[in-house]
Amino acid sequence: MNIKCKPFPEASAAPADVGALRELVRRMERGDGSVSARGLTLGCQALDDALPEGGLPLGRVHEILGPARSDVRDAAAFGFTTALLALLMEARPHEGPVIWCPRSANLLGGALYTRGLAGLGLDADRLILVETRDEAERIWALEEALSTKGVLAALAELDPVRAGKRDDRTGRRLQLAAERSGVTGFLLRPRMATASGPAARATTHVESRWQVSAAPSPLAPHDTRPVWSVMLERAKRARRMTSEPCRIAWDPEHLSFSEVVGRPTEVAHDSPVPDVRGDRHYDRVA
Amino acid sequence: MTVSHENSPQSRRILSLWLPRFATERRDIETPDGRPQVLTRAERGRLVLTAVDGHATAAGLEPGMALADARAMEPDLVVDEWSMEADGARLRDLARWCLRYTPLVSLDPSSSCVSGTIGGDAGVWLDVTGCAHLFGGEEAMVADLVNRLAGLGLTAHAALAGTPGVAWAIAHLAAPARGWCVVPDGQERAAIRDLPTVALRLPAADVEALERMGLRTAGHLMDLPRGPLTARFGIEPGRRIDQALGRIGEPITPLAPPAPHRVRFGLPEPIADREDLAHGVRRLLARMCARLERERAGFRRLRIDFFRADGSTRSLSLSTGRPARDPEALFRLIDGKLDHLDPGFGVDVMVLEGEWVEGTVSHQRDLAGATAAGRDDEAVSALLDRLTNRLGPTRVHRPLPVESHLPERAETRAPAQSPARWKTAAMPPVPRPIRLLSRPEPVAAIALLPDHPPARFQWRGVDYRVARAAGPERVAPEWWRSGSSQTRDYFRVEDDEGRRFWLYREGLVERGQAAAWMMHGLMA
Repeated sequence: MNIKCKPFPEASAAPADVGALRELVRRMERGDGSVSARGLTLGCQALDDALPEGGLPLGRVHEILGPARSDVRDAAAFGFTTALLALLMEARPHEGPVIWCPRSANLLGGALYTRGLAGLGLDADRLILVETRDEAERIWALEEALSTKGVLAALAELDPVRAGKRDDRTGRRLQLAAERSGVTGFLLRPRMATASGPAARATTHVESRWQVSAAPSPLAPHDTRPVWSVMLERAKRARRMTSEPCRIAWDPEHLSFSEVVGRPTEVAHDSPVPDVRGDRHYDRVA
Repeated sequence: MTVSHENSPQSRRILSLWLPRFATERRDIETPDGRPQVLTRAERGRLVLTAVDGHATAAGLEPGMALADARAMEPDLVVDEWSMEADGARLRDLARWCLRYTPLVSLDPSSSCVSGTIGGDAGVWLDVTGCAHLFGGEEAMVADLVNRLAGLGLTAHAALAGTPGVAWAIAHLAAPARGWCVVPDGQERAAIRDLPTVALRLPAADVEALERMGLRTAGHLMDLPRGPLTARFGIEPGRRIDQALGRIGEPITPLAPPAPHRVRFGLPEPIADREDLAHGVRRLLARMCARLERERAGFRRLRIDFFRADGSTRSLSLSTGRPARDPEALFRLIDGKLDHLDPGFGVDVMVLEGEWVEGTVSHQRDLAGATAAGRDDEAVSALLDRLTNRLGPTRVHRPLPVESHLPERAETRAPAQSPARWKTAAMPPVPRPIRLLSRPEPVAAIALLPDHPPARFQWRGVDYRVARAAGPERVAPEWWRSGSSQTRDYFRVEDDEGRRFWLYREGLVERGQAAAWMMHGLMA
């Protein structure tokens, strides 16, 4: 008997098709069929290369961890987040406001100072602050903002995570709300004082998690660009992990990140005399 | 004197409500006690009765007696100190409850609980012009008011007449046994003719002087020629007669001016169920929103008063960021607040008032329905309303610049819907911190030379070693403000781990003043 079999379709597809298929699968998983927007290019090769789609995915929730008690002594994580928001506002000039829910209960670290945020390039006209009484209210406000089309981004400052306490459902809910509306969310929190192990990691459903801390500036003394040490701790579909912290500078004028190399400016450790080369201009005001 | 004036058709209808024993009866309602009760206050070194209740009156006590005399007549007395403030507040509650009949309600300023005179009585005016038909006529309305108050345990006398003066006189001096009476339009003169001169609300000294002249009734006064009357007793008696007869107006000042956007929903039976209340709110909103649709306006702030059967009111208010007239959206904002509303034994009247109504600009609609941008704007605006209504009006805000060189004065906050102003603001030439301490904190610092930045410093018990510093930036105090501080030299300082701070030195070191170092903020 001579039965002619119908041949199987070509099993091996071209790499480009695989990418398209993966995109299709992702879309089906999300269930809404919306095409994912291209990510937000950060302008710094080291970070963009690690991120999927060559930039920070929008319409997702990102978590930025500062060092322990960072709001009290170290504003680096706030600075980095402000820089991301400034970039995002620049990229989407016609979209709505940024909703920022600060942790006002803790005034030890002072209150947000808009002139400083504007100095980092943030468009303060598009900033709306939402004061809340506790973290539950902050998460409620964040979720409301994340599910509102027309909001550009929403940010909530959260408390440090207690060891062993995980809240997967909140994270998943926030992420779903962000995906549905296309609003980008940011969670800003200090790392727990002691542990940095898995127990201290709270939201497992965030799109990416960053660790930011202050870094000694290797720049010329006149260069006022802030420098931070940034580490992409994890990202979904990341192309590469930057396991090593990477030092980046933020240019508020041109709204771009750049990697900086070199040793920090010499610190005179053996004498109390500082290496003061600051520009000594007097701004006679008032 | 012309008679035709007095008989001219009167348009106003005023209800005067008098509660002769308000001060004692409201205490009886709150803490019932069968014994005679009196209220006292200290006067010229002795305690004097200011108010007595029914039992005490029956025992022969009256306001103005000394407490010692009263005890001699009736040993078993409950004595309490009179508080005009507390009675006044209760009277205002009662007056608010009277808003169920008319939006124009005011307190009688001459009554004891408002003016602080002895007596313990209270009075309320209601301008019920054009309201009576809602309650089945004037008689039915006055009877309803008196019966409801009697049901609460308050003795109430009410009179309805064309002028406040006549209504007051009848309620105080000539109320029939059932407690209320209605003076038909145009009968004012006849109604007060035979009443004593006190009915004209004259001061006690005037009444006494008139009495000495044999002028005992209001009719006597009205019959006198005006010239000699004024020459002898001043302008007051003539003015009061004119007010009573409606020849000159006597305005009553309402507690709250009525809003032009007001709808009322009266119920045959009190309701307390949350679903029923929600249904009532929906009906009010639907009616008012239909009207706003015609007027092309929307609510910015609205209030719903729930008049409870027990004689008190509860209110809900709501504000929105832009004029809103979508009944469903407004209902969603109110819905959550209904949970906290205590209906007591039931609510029988609900009134919705638009406290702030603003015209709307309608959006250009495209063929598909609405523009995408307009839809997004509306969604953001609705979000801000949701946040504001749940968190509180001051908690959702936008920062705005203030033209000041002092960093702590350089920005303020405004409601989130206010226009943005940062584009035009003058920005400082050098970086500012992104977190500013609410008040600068003293820092122990060591500087190499007096006018140098610090080499190391101690803040909140932690030592920092300075690696880089920039500055100074001099900020002079605002001498035109009192309590201004000293001149500050600001430095941006980075420690050896890269943390950046904003410190300043207070005082002019070059003039030999002592310098103090302060921490003011955290740089990015």
